[in-house]
Amino acid sequence: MSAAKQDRDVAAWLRRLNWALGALPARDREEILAETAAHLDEATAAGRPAPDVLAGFGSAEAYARRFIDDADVTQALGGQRSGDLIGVVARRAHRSLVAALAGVALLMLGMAGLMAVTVAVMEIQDPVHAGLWWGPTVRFVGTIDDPAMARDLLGPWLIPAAVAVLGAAWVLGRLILLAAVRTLARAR
Amino acid sequence: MTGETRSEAAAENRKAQLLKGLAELALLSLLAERACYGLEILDRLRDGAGMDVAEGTIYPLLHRLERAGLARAEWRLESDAARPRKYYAITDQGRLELDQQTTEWRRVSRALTAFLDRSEP
Repeated sequence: MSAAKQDRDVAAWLRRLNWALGALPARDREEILAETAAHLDEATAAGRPAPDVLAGFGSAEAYARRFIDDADVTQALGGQRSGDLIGVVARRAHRSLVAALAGVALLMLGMAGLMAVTVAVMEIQDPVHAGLWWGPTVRFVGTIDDPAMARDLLGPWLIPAAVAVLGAAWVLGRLILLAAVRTLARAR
Repeated sequence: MTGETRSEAAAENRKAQLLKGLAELALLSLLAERACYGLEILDRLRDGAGMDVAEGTIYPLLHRLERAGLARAEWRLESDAARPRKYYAITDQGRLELDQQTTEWRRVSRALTAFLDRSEP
């Protein structure tokens, strides 16, 4: 391979890297590019073929993803904000079993929380028909047309129970999020 | 792929998995001696520790150490270089981490060696 062709390949790889690092702040991106370009320059000047050096970095996209993933996880764990932690899990769910499982668990907890809020609102709006109904033919949480058909197991405790479910879903969700992101951080 | 090539690839993969967790320890140990730049680190890890760490692994690891406060970096223009190089040096926190990781590695290594060398019943 001619030197000119190798130079073109290196330049094209660096352009792809620059594009792939787009999610990072400009300063970080420039720093990584400068360091990578210096490495490529020095390694090829020392006689290593450019394709071999580029192979050591892997594809520009995969190389960039390591920095982006790392920054993502570090920022999420540093701030411990739920939005950032959820973002990390959501962005990794398609390529990490841990993130995918955490995503499914969070979805189920979210649905449980949503159901708790809905039931609490129903209880406030229509306390006579809303409840945890248990009868020979009906067993559900929600509003019933004829309260004589079943017994309300919770009665006035429906709202405290809904708040407890919501709180438990929140706490459990946070624990799952933190555990999942810490596992992802260890796997780097 | 021939059987021999497959077995070489499997051996490489096993080695890579084993070395993955140790790269950070070796890197901190290297930086504890003196500040180094990326290419120099790769060469010294390959020649000195027999760790064939790829370029694509070492730089994200160095940036992670820097972000974690275990290493600090600065650009220097050396007389023998055409471009500035980014040098990494260990921090006090990094030395502490190195001590802890070294102790842990020695403990695990001793226990595992004793286990692997146990006499078969």
